[in-house]
Amino acid sequence: MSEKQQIPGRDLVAELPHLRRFAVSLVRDVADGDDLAQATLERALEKGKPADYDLRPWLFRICRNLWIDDMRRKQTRDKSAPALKVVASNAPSAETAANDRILLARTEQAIADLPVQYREVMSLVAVGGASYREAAGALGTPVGTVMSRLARARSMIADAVNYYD
Amino acid sequence: MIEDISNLDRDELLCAFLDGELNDDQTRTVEQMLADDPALAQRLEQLRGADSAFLSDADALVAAPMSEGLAALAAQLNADTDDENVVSITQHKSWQQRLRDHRALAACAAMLSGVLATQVTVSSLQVATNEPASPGVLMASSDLHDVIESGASGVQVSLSGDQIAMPQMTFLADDNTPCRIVDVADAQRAGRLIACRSKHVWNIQIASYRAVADTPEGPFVTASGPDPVIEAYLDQVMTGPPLDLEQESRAIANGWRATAPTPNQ
Repeated sequence: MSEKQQIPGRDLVAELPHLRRFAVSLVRDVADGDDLAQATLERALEKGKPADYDLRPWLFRICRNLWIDDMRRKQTRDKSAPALKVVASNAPSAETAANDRILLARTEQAIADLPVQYREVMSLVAVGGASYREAAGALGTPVGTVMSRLARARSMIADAVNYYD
Repeated sequence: MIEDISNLDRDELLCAFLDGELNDDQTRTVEQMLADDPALAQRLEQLRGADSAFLSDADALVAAPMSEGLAALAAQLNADTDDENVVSITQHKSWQQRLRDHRALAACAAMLSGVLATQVTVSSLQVATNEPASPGVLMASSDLHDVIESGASGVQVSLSGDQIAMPQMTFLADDNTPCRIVDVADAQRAGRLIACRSKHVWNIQIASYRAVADTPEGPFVTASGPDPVIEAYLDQVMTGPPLDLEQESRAIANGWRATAPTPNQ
């Protein structure tokens, strides 16, 4: 069994921006994300880090496990894949800034409309840097499911914001 | 690694390629497919763009102030000074080294710009900030605001009143607030300021000026030198590497709403 190490407070603080971004990307709400990040730090302090684990991936693992536990407990997972809202794509504007704002709004909407199952795999892989196998292990799904969800998530975002326009 | 890519659909295959989940042979196969099929290459960029958008979205959300509970915990952890902190010290040194490297490059640019800057004749920085050494909100109508909002690092800009300014670098503060280090000079004074963007407004956090007479080489040479006040402030707020020029350019284009550092950096 791996030896547990007490984690210096400053090390945790140094990881906090990354942990916070990861948590917020999972829940897509700042207050809930901060709560999740706080719970992660508290759990990390309580458990102690295995000596052979890198700090950041270990924190991400705690974070996503806490989130998944919470989601299961609340049974609020979205079982369906809601359709993307159609965002007007013909807003007339010659201004670059205006176009940027429109693009940003469409991006935000597309991400907000991602089904939870898709968002979690995006958070794990794109933000958390997990491999497909790690993501599959964390989510309890086959690697093939991770791949298909990830491809669908990226596709939904890319198609919604019309990057190819 | 993926054992068999023959059953993957187009997007799954491209995602696996993007995520480094293919072995060498599979990677070469996809690279050849991309070279042969412009539409496939375009699709790859779309999916890559989706990743960037997702990361930027998270960054924009965490730009909000930290909750009280989390901030209190962070403060408590920060106060924990009894433990050895090898990781943080190592990171800190690494960032400081990158900062020095970046400044070395900036100094080269400054040396060149200094040749032009010696021709500056106007004697006031009042347009830049009424009180150059005082922090405060920067008026959106000012020239300096425009430079900070949209000027690229390393590019010197002339302001009204014959002042000159040059952003030196951009970084993210602890709360992911974008901050910029900018050198400002006229014929009499040269200095460096740090401005951070919060709630669509640039706030000058700190500024330090010296007389140009101290530096015959030119105003930006003075500004580029280590200033203990600025250095001390940077040690507090700059906890990560500066954005590279591509990241900075993207942030400027996005109106600073989605400043995305490299994941897991």
